[in-house]
Amino acid sequence: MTVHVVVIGAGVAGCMTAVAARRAGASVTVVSRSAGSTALCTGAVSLDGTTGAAVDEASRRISIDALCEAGGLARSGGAFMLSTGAVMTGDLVATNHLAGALGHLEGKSVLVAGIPGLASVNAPDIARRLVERGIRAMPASIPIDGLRRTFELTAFPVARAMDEADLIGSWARAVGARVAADGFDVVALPPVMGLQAHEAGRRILQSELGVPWFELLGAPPTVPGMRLWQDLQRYMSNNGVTLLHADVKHAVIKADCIVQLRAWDGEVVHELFPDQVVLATGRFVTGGIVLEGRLVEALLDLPVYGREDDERSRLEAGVLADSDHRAVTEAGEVVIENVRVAGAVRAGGSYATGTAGIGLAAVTGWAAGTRAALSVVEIDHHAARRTVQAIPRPGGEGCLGCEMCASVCPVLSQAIKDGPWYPGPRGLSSLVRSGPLLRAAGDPLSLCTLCAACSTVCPAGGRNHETVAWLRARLIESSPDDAPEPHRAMPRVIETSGNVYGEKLEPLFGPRREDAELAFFPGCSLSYFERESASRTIRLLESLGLPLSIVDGVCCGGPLDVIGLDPTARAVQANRQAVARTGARIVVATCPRCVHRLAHDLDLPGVTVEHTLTLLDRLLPGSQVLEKLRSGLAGRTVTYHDPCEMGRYLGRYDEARRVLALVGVRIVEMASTRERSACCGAGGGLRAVDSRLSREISRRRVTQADETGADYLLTECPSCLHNLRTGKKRKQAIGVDDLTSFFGSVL
Amino acid sequence: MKYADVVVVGAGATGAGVARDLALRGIGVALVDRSDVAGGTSGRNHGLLHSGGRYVVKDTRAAEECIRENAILRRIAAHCIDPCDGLFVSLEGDDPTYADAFEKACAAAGIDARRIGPADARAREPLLAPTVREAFVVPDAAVDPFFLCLANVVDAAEHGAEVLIHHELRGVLCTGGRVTGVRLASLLDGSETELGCRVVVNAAGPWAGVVAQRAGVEVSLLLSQGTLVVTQARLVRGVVNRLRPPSDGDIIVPGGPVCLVGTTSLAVPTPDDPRPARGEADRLIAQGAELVPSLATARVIREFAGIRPLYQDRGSAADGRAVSRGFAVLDHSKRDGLDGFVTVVGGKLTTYRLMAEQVSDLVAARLGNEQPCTTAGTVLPGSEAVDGARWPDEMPGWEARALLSRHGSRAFDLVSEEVERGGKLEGLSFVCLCESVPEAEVRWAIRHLFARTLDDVRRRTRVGMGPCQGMTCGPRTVAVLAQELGLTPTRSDAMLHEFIVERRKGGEALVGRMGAAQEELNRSAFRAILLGREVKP
Repeated sequence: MTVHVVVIGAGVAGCMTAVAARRAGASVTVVSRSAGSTALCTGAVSLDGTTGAAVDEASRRISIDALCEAGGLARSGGAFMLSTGAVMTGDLVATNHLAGALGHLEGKSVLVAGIPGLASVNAPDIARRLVERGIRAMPASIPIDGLRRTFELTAFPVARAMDEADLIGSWARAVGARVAADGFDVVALPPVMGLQAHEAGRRILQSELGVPWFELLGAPPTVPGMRLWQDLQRYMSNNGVTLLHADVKHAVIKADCIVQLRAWDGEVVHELFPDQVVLATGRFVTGGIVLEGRLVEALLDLPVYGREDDERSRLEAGVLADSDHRAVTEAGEVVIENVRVAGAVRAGGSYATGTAGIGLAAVTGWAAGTRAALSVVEIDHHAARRTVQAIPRPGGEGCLGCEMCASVCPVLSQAIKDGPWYPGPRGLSSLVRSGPLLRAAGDPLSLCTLCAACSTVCPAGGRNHETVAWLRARLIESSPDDAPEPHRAMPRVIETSGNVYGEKLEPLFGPRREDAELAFFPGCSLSYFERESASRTIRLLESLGLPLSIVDGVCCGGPLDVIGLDPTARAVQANRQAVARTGARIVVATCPRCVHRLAHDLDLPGVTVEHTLTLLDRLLPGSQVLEKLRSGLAGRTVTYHDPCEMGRYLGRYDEARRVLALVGVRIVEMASTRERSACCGAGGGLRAVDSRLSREISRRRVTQADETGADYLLTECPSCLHNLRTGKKRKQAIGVDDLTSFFGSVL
Repeated sequence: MKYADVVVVGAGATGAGVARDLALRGIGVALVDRSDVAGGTSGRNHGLLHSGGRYVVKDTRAAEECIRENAILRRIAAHCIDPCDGLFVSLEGDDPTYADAFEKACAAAGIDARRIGPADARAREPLLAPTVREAFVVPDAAVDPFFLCLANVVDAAEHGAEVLIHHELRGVLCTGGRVTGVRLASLLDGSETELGCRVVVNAAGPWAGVVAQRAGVEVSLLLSQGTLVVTQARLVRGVVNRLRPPSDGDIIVPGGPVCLVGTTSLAVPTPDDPRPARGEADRLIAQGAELVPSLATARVIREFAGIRPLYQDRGSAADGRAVSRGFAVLDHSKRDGLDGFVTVVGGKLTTYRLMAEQVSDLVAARLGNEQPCTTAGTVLPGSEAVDGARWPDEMPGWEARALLSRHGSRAFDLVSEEVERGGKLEGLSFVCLCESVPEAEVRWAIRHLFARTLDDVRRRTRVGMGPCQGMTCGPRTVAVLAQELGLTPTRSDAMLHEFIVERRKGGEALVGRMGAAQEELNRSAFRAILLGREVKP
């Protein structure tokens, strides 16, 4: 029997646990709720504390090798200068940094290339410090062509701009020209040379600079740290680990064994039935250990070793582990038979106190994962059960200033390139703490697409997108003149026209059967922009064998969510009556926002509201139309764009992929997918406020899809569909469609 | 030997006010401080512009002074003031007779206090406790003490005063019972200088006794420490006071994006290095939470203490709260036979201008200058009306707002200097993301606002005052300082080290209040920032 190991946490410790358990034959699920300390590291890995880490030397070496493979790291051991001017030892560093070891720079002449407007790297200061160490160094300030903004650049958005080959290429050429003109031996670069596409960036730098180069390391938070974290997520996927983005809220324990974990992803509860559990939840930054009067292990209330009133002891506090890596009391008794601990949640060793680095997390993770996979625990299923509730995270009030949100925000990365001024999620949510700035923030507040990417990486559990909607509501209430016109006008437009576009919409052509069992709610976007797609979707729905009727309703009020308002009672009543008129028991919509709203508002006994994907996932497997779809779609390759409101909002990633697999199309994934899916730019009302910015964001997404080589970019959300179509360039061959419309097209 | 008519010792609110007052009268002034403008008590308080309500029941005179000065400062220092008004709130169980006494006393002192019911009170302050019984609306306001003091110093300098911060008074030179000069030491480079003068004004606040000793006279102070905590969020719209005799934890003052909860009163033996005592923060929060319950779970980002220099006439022995919050001007020629030495002690931020006026009247008379005081009618730098000033087109409104909130009308000068420098807005890149501080503002603080250290820059820009407490902005800012002042890496490293150590102190007691995650992240970042820097203490 395969052992099912559930790992909680996806940093270095969690990743190494998961991969070790996989190698030892277990099936592994990693549950993680955000990025954490791994993403916040300098990018260099310290092996401090690994030699005495209760594992033998051979295992230590194996786990460090595995970390190097997972994170693209190399052994170095040299001293490196950080962009802050400090100097530190990096035992393992990514290849981008290797040439920067101070030992390698001796006797060379170094060009320190700064970027004007990027205050985190002060090239003259770094050059002066290198000169003080006897290294010939000269600063240069080289602007990035293609970035309209020349000030207020921060590391993450610049790194994401550098993901574009054209942009990094032209900058590298400009640097290369300086190198050639003045004959430098080595180039020091700010650590912003791409985030997701940094490997492609490396190749471009190599060919354009003509001499050895390196990225400086930085003080946390850094782009290289975020790259490491992303690499680890990919590595886990590639090694057959199931990743689940969710927050473990409850553990059910029977006879000293965990038999069930319940993880909430913001909307849905996932139930997991582990044989073995490994906690790799980190210490304070990620909330593995919390200080609430006393030190507490937040998930299972395991005994914590450490004194809260002593700084060092506090920073190294954690759960004690035995030689089998199981959590134990101070007396050495195992607390829960099938629970192990790895990484910083374990007592002792902390980067903050200088006694450990993430190398230790790799070593303990590897060991715990191996042991977990090889352990067998007999669970007495007749024993009494008890449920442990985890301590919740503080949320937005807990902002640490870590800038993780800036690493994923779609608006920020586009806005620094050629858009209006935008401060990013952290800046926007900090408005909560600065009343007087709220009025000046009307414009930037209206640019957020509410895609929630920031909320999924926030170590503190901030729900930035909810904060933005709330702030918009507050601004409209307290100072309507400072809110953008589309936001102010939206309630009136919806009220008078019945749709968000304020147009007179013709009802959709299609069936309105009296015996309908299934009712299709088309929503505003489909009825307005995508009538073609709508008719194909209707064709598909009809083919499922249930009598169908189209709901002649009004706007569900979903768009009002983006300004923190609910639909009017009148609109709710109108839709309730329209649905009741169809007599159907199932209401289905392609728009996740409509589904969410109607499910919440309709309140009709016996009527359920479903998304089209849920319906297909349920009905398609036994359906007669399946063969027809299979033959019609054979040989097609598609990539799937997760709509934010299905994925990050509802945690629903698998339905679409299951349905696509069922009909036999080949699926290729984009560089950012599922939890890390990139927003299409349509959300949050951005299209109405700044259609150009919205389109540019969708262009990036379509380009990402195009790069996969797929024939079709599919999604299942009319808003995404329309925006992605807008963003497709004529020369791009990829087709853009809703999944249901794509299916309907062969019927 | 260089000469100034008057040497003012202490660049807190009082000293800065005296320097400005004298400079406006055309008198030559040197303003000396061993640390920075507002480096002592003036920078370590709530930032409350009193209506006088807090003292009205017990000390009518202090209350009257407060309300008069309150009105004046709203005119002359508008850019430093958030005219948010305040509430005096009584809760169920509070002594009901105090409200009537309060109302009567306010009427007598000329404080406009309007009684409102619990519903109105909670409409004004949504987070007030549900047990609020009644409240008075008073013209309290929030004032930024750093920028108020700084504006006075800038105005003094623009009227010819010399500003010698980071200079310590080593001795007062006297000949025949008359002051002839001072001996100063620069704490930046250790050099000693002598400066001739006819009058020394001792406005050293809690150090007034020490400065007096240098002149061989004795001034006795009661040093009362007050501790405050700073929350990460602004929980109140205006000032919230408890309607009862002053006590610990009974006042919450908004300060831009944060709010400050205070204060305690604890007699201390020395004015140096005030530190909150153990448990003070918890006590403040527990009591403040009676007024605003969400304070109990709010994230606290810092605690700090300041010293009230309460003047105690020889022989009296009252405790901290009972000693008058009024002030005293001591003419040592009458008191001790030392001609040309004047001490000003006691008082409060709200009445600093009045104190300065009285001191300056005395000094001007001593120098035979007959110019009248004009400080009440002359607007401070930054609060001037701006006609036709414009931001560059690309400049975000938000950034403009942040700069205006700190520098008032001078923010336009700051930006136009940046534009002239490079024709671009590069310098508007953030060095500090928590408080939206651009690099140009750091340069401005160094070039025009006398900043010489990282801590000086902090007071002038709010760099390092957000939740990260210097994690991001520390190294960036010190690099700018190094460029502007030509500091060696060794010197700037030491400065950064000192700054971070100091910032860390403010958070030590607070890790229990949702700060452990921030502590862990900041410590990790600090380690990466400080590693390998050759720090010589």
